[in-house]
Amino acid sequence: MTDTPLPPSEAVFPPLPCSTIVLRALLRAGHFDKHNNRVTAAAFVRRSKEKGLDSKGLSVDLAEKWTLDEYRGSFNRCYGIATLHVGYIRDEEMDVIQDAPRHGNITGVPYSEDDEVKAERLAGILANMARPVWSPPAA
Amino acid sequence: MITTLDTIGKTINNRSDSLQNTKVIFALWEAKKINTLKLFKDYFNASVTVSLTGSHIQHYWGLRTSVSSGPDFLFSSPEGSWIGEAKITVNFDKFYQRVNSALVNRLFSERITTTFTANRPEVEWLMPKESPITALLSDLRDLMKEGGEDEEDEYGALRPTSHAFRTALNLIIEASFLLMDGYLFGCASTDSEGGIRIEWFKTTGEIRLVIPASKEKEPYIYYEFGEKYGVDRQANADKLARWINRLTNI
Repeated sequence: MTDTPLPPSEAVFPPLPCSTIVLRALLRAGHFDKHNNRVTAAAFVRRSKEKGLDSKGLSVDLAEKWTLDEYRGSFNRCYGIATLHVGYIRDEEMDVIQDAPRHGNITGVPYSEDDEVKAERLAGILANMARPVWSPPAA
Repeated sequence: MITTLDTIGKTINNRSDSLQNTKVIFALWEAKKINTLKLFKDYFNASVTVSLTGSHIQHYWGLRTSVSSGPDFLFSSPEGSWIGEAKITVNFDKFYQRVNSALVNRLFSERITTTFTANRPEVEWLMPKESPITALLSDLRDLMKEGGEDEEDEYGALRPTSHAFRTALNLIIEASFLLMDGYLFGCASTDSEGGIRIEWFKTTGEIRLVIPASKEKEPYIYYEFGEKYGVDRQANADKLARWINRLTNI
């Protein structure tokens, strides 16, 4: 044991309840399909493995810890916000692991470099379960 | 053979009694930026050269949107940035339906060249219209404008690489020639490296065209129809058209 508290990034959090709602920011215009009013799979593809991006998984935040205004304001460009249900994510053999008081990562989605079929398949599943809750007003 | 643009329809009509109702409308968008445009080269086995003042255009893409509306032609600079748009309406039903391809090949075997200047009063200026193909190409154009002077943000590259953009345009436009019923509305996005993803979605299935940022990796097509899904590697226009046709008709 140690007497020194772990920094938030290394703290161990208990498993999130299945009822937890998480937020996923849509950081490119193409992450939201305006013709079908749905989130695209592109929003759930892990970024470059070579650069070590998304090394813990797909970044999400705990909905109960944020307001939508605060959340979208935390990004330079935000083209929408979608919510996902942790229980439904677990139904598809993925998980959400909390790694900070307000943040977690969707795990179980491989990098495209490792398994592009599974990466695409799971990205599509996540896109289908994502519910858009905010998008910028039309210009 | 040199002829003027507004005589193309007449020229073609004179070649065949079977190709009736020939109509050619040509228009340019942002035409001042365009110097030389070449059309028809591959598809019609002929070419049209349009000379305007401005910078040189060395690359072109032609596409056909539908039988009823005729083809739209879009132009890009050698760097891949969007330059302009032209519309040509050519009602060759037999040509489109490929009922009589041998006849068409013979009819169009002679090259046609035309020239005109930007300020010709008969040139009709067009606004882009919202069909699936023009919407998609507009989205691709918008990807190139994303971010202004910024190259990237916390997510990654803001704009596609020139390689990804040109590959996407070529695949989209070449495939359009092979589609039976045209495109569905698609959704284009830049990935964090500057690659391009285009997704076509229906409740019965979906297709994703994935074009990496560099030529070191090959583009692929992901398909999903119910429980059947997979990746079709080494994407090309034939494969893309085949998958889009399947998605359209399922």
